[in-house]
Formats: sequence, C-alpha cells, structure tokens
Amino acid sequence: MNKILEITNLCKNYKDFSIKNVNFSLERGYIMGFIGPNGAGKSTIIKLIMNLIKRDSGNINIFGLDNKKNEIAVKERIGFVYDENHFYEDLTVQEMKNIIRPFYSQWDENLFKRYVKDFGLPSKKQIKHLSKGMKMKFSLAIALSHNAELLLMDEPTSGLDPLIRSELLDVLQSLMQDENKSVFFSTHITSDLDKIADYITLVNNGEVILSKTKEELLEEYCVVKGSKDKLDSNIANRFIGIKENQYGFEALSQNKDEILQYLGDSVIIEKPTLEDIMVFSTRRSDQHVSSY
Amino acid sequence: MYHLIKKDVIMQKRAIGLSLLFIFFFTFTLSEIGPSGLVVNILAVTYMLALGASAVEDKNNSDLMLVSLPIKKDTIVSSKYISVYIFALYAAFVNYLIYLIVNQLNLPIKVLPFTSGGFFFSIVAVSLFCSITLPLIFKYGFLKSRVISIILFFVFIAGGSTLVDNLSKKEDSILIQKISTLFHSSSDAQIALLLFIPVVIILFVSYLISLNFYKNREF
Repeated sequence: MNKILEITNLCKNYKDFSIKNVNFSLERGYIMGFIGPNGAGKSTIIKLIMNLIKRDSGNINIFGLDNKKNEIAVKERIGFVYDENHFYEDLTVQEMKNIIRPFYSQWDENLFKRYVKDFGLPSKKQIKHLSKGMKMKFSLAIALSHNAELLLMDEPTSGLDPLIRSELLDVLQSLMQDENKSVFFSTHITSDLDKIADYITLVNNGEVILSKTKEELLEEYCVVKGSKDKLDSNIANRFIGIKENQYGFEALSQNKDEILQYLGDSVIIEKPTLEDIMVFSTRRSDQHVSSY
Repeated sequence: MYHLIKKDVIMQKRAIGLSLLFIFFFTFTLSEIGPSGLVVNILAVTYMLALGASAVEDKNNSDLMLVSLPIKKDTIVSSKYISVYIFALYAAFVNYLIYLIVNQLNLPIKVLPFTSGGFFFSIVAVSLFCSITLPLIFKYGFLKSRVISIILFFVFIAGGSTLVDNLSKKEDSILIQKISTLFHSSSDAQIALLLFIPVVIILFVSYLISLNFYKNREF
C-alpha cells in the first residue's frame, strides 16, 4: 500500500468542539471526497493536515513523513486550494504568481502559463476584480504549477456555478492520469463527488463516520421506501436514519441483504446517492424528521 | 526572505506613493523643530508602511496562505522585522535627497535638516516601535492589535517630545548633569554604542517573542 496521506488517532479539542480520534488514509493515484455537513470538522481536519493548527494528539503522515517534523518538505509537495481567496487582492494575477513562485523549488512556469491560457485567466487584472470562479481557477493554477503530488482542496466548489464546477472536475480528472498524484477534496456538494471520487470519508461532529471506496459504499448501502406499517421497532433499529411522512417512510440501511431478508418485496429498495448517505448518517436521533 | 520583503513593498505600491506626499508634507511643516522632526518624519512613514503591510495581510487573512507555503515561520517573522528597516531607510533616503537638493540648489525654502544624529535617533525610535508592535501583530494579527499600536505610536511621539523637553529644562538636576558629563566625555561613537547595545538587545528579545507567538498561533 502506497499511502500518500495517513491520519491516525487525530484529536484536537476546543471549548465547544472536538476532533475525536480521526483515522483514515488515502492511497496514491486516487481522489478522496471528504464530506460532512457544515461545522462537521472538515476545515479543522484540513488545517490540521496543513499544520495551520496544532493537534493535541495523533499522527498525520504525508508522503510517509510527519507533517510537523517535515513541514517544509511536505508543503513543497502539496498544492492547496481554500474556500476563500487569501491572496493579496490589490495585486494582479501575474504579480501574485511572482510572489509565490520563488517559494517552490519545483515551480513549472510553462505549466502555469498553460493553466492561465486554459482557464482564461487575465494576467494583468487585479485579483479583487476577478469573479469567484476565476479566483478559484487562479488558486488551482498556482496549486498545480509546482508539480504537487497531493492536492488539498477545502470546499473549492462552494458558491461556484455548475459550469465552473464541471470545469474544475474535468481538470481533476485529467490530473489523475498521473498515478502518483492524489486529490483530497472537501465539499458538502456531494454531486461533485459522484463524478470523480474514488474514496469517500464522511465526518460529522468531529468524528469519522465512514471511510470507504465509493463503489463499496454505493454497493453496501441502500435507500428503503415503504409504508409506515412496515416500520416496527425491530426494523427501525436496523436503519441508519429514517424520514417519515404521511405516505410512508424513507430510510438508509447499511445492509441491503438484511433488508431484503426482512422486508422482501414489500418495500422499494433503491441505490443511494452520496447525499442520501450523508443526510441520513449525519442526522441526529433527535432530528428524526416527520414531514407532512 | 528577500521575496517576502519584496512582497511587503509590492503590495503597497499606492501607499508608497502616498508616503512620498507625507515625507514632503512633514519636511516642510516640521522643519522648525530640527532633528527631532526628522525622527517624527521617518517614524511616521515607517509606521504607515510597516503596519500597512500587516493591514493588507489581515484584510484577506493572507497569513493562512503564507503559512501554507513552504516557508519557515522564522523566515516570515525575520523578514517582517527587516522590512521595517527597509521602509525606515526609504523614508530617510527621501528626506536626505530633499535636504541635499534644497541645499545644493540653495533653494529659498526651509526643510528638515538631515543630520547623522537625527538619522541615528530615527533608527532607535523605529527599533523600539517595532520591538513593541510586531509581537502584538504576530500574536493577534493587525486588526486586533491596531488600537494598541496607534496608542503606542502617539505615546512614542508625545512621550519622546515631552522627555526631550523635560530633560532640556532640568539641566541642573544631578542625573542630567551626570548624563551630560558622560555624553560630553564620550565620543560620538561611544554614545552611539551606548544606545545601540540596549536597542539591539530589546529588538532581539522582541524577535524571539514574535517568533514564539507566531509558531504557536493557530490560523
């Protein structure tokens, strides 16, 4: 196994929120979708990976190296895209690139020029005058122009129109032709991951709920729809989450075979989307929704 | 480090243009008060540019971007200290240029005299000022430490002038006489060294505190 990112027993405590014993890993050559509702701890975990905040305990190994002890060497090989613009807004695209470029020993100017051309980035325009989509593309161009092996993206698609999101996903897919590279992509727009993700890690309330390949996930889990009279407590306990309304219920199960065995043809069993898995898995028990 | 200093300059192109106007304004308006006017001039321009760079960084939370790049935190901290002196030297150079031109051309206008003493005390004032404000910026960021920085700036200006005034009025006090004797019996180089050593120590301690704050700061 060639793990590009490995997190073990990661903990970080705040007064009102904690990252609790997080464990997951990502292999080279794959895209991992990092999903969870707002406030689940996605950005905190990304900041811990980038050593922007200090962990209380646990280990984070990137390229087999501890991210704190080998901070500079690790950051040389990471490309990052954050959800907001952190560049100097009064500078032009060209000026900002010239500031960042010297810090990467592997900077590839021709590659940057190619991305500028492909993305239609106006080199002489001030960053503050770029649209949100263009700012994200600029950030991506910077992240991809120093031969980074791991691309770390924190909600890069939030607030972007479908066209730009689709363009971004195409770029990521083409990037994966190089089997040495990996992408770690946090989002709450799960439809983006339906297209490109190989692995899914779901976090909620600072804990990893699941971390599996997308195929495994969509194969194991199922959405069950049926009338309410089928929903006795024995069955209800086997579901991860249940939504009820006046016509019946909708629930997520992690064991399709078991549901088939108990309920047979009396219910409809459907393949879940990643959104179904996220919504049902992260709903608290006291938020058991009845919609009428 | 060079690139981080260059960044502080590039991102303030407009502010540097504006600082030229400040220097011209101060060189005429403060010309009556002599060398201490030069200290005020250089300190004010350095304050404006050094803290301006931090303000731009805070505005976009650009520290997050900087610490995500492969740059050592001590490089970020030390380059900030050095850039303060780059701005001070720039202000001193423009002042010197104005003084030189006015004197060479015998222009009938009065400008701030550029003396080695005035320049030396400017550097001392800039050093003390950045020794206090930079640790605060590295701990809390510019916006949160802004009020304290502004208060400190005026305390420096007002306090410095009051101190000089009081010292000149109390020429007969024993302490002043002792200091005066010490200064008269010492060469300029010895006096400079006497002031320079504690300033360097303060600056070094300030750098260590800033570095400690920055290394422990969470972004």
